[in-house]
Amino acid sequence: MKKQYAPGMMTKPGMTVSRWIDGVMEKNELIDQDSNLRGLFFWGHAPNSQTRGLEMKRAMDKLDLMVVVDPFPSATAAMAAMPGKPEDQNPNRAVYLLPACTQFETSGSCTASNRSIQWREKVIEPLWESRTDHMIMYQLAGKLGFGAELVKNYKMQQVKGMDEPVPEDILREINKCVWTVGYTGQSPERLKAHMRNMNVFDVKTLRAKGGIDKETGYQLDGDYFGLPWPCYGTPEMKHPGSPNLYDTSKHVMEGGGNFRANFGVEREGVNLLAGDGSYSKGSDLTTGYPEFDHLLLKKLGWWDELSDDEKKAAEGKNWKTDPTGAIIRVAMKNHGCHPFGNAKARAVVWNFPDPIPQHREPLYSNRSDLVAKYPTHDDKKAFWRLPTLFKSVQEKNKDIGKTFPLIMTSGRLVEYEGGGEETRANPWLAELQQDMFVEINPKAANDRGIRNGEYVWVKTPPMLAVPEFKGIRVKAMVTERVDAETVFLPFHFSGRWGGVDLAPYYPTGAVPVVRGEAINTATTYGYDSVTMMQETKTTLCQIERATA
Amino acid sequence: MARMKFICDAERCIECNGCVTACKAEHDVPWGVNRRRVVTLNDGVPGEKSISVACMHCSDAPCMAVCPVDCFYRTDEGVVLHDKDVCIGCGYCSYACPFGAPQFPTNGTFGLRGKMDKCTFCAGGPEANGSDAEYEKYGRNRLAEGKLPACAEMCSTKALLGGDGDVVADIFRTRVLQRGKGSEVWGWGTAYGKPTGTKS
Amino acid sequence: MTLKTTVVVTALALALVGCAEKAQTAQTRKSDSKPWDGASTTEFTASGWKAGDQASWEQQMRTRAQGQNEYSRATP
Repeated sequence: MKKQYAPGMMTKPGMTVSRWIDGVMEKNELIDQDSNLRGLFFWGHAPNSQTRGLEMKRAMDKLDLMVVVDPFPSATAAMAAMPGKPEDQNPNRAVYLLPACTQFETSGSCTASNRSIQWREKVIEPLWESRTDHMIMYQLAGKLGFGAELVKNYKMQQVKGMDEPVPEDILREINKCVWTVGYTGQSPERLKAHMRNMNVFDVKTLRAKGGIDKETGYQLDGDYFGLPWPCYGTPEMKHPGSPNLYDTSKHVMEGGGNFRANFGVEREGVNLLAGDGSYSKGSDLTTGYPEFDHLLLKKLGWWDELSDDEKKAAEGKNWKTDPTGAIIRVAMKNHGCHPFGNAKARAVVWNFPDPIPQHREPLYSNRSDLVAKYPTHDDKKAFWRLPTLFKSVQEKNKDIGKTFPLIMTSGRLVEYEGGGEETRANPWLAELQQDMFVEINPKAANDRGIRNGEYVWVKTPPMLAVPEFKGIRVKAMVTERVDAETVFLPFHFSGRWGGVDLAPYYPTGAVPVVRGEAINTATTYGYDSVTMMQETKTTLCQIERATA
Repeated sequence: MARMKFICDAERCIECNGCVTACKAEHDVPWGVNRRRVVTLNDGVPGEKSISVACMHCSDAPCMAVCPVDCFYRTDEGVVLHDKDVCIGCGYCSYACPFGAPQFPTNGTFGLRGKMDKCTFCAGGPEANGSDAEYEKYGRNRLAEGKLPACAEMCSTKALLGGDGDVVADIFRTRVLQRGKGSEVWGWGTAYGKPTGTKS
Repeated sequence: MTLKTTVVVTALALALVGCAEKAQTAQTRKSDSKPWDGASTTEFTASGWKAGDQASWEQQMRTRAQGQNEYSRATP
């Protein structure tokens, strides 16, 4: 596998998706890799959920290769196809659209935001030329020379005459090795038994009250629905999943836990492990303790609870690298201890730029007094391979509030999801939200002569550099939902660009029912100092009534 | 058997429009025809409330009373249905209905009103149960399949209840007993359990 | 009907057909079957009741309505 990577790149943290455009556009000597970003896969991802859309269009034009893998062509296809600046156009650029299957055309596991996992069944065979993501990955890996390695632990099945990894085996491979976050107990068999017996789960606690699966005889009693991760140990250990994290009122084998010992045992003379008397219910160790490894088990005299075979495999390992899961079993099942240790949660995160959260004014703020009082971080030379600016952007823009006085925030709607191409192509959802809009307070609207339902131009600081771009043209919703200095726009729309309908640039027959301006065409530079998360929640704009 | 009824618990309705989408999907309702709608009062202001509205299947239905061609009828369970083949699209039922339930498709020559369409309580219409003709004109007949209206069954918070009026009233009464009185106190505690006494 | 009326009615009917509106022929309501008779869509029919049996259908309606009552499936 190493030979697939350029030297030094295999273990190097990569560029984040929020910054891909800088990977393309930034000066080569300033990025921390040999060449600029030249090729991009948009795999089930929409571009209009990323900020700085005006710059993104330019980056798209410069790429050598762009591949869109999606059931819907998504805004990527239209954005790539629409005309841009002639000097940005790479004559060698190749754009491919690969139709991917929806979740109905394949089976597989799916994790919900409450950490429960469900098993989804295939409802129909893949339509037209679409292929599942895992088939596309396998075929791509094959072309790159490591297809056999990718699927070596999977059985393959035939779908429309082509090889496709069996989804159950993909989950089983995860079960075999993702010990750290507890993705090991949720076997396909346990999850399917849950799906067949949803009625035995209490709807408030999500815990099964009895229940025996007719098909397999699996006993559901005590399981939490979907075995919410962390679900530790092997499936045979039958951990019930963790409904709430760090709950010391429950035994670890009932989904309880304590806080992990992730940060060492001692710092500056202070013990980081839990104090005496703080432990999960029924634990044999009633003090703080570090993560479990073979040494700790031996010290405690519990090593002989492993079988001879398990001892051979677990020798020299810790609970995260023991391939048998025996260290976890002995710690949790036999002694009620948490394999990741028992330590204090920390309120001071000493390895972050701000160990305790500090208020720092956004890069684009209409309060220059607060910018002076709560300035942002210093610029970073290389952060995930790219120079990342903070102070220099804030300094340059400290008076921009005079031209762009309204705070602009973006967020979600119920009816649409993500970039919106899939949901805006659904006529029943599209009918419920037919127009891209801006929520504006009555005072702010009246000061600008804007009436409810009228079209307005929303302008933001990046447009100063692109005078031919008039702004994004959206409908005004005059409402008390926002206060007089804030406006809200949903981010799910795409298919219009500066007032122009992009319908001609979609593949024939793939135009969504509803199109609208993307707010992220207008959003600005700004990234979190730890995660590189993009700033979508606060920037500045000005709004004026559209006369044309 | 009591008559079939809808209740929408305004304490729980979150304006998700799941009921509207379920109805659209189940019956392939064309664009512009709103068998069910969610109405929001005081939008954007504390105290905002939403409620899902469709045909209420009135005991003494005004639509039935005013129809000049007598295309309406009421089933033994109290579901108010009509025969689209008899309907002349005059719109009189639309004037009469206090809930705005009768809907009229907007296509057709010269913007003429088509046949009236409305919520059927998922009971189809006067065609054979489950037939193609019934589906084309009235949508799915879920009652004949032993199911309840799609909107109520899909409601994400079980704000919208539908079914035997006695059962529905009983469920609603249990809720009110559990959570106590107080539409002025709002929050999760009110909708799903006892109010905590403090405003959330 | 007079000849003139017949001509007018025929012309109107033809005009209706021409603009894809269905001709209005029905004068009285068709009669409807009862829901407990069941539907021809047996593959989508819920289990637990017998088609043709009114009492069985009414019981099914009551049982199914309890699916909307989480107090029957939750600890208080």
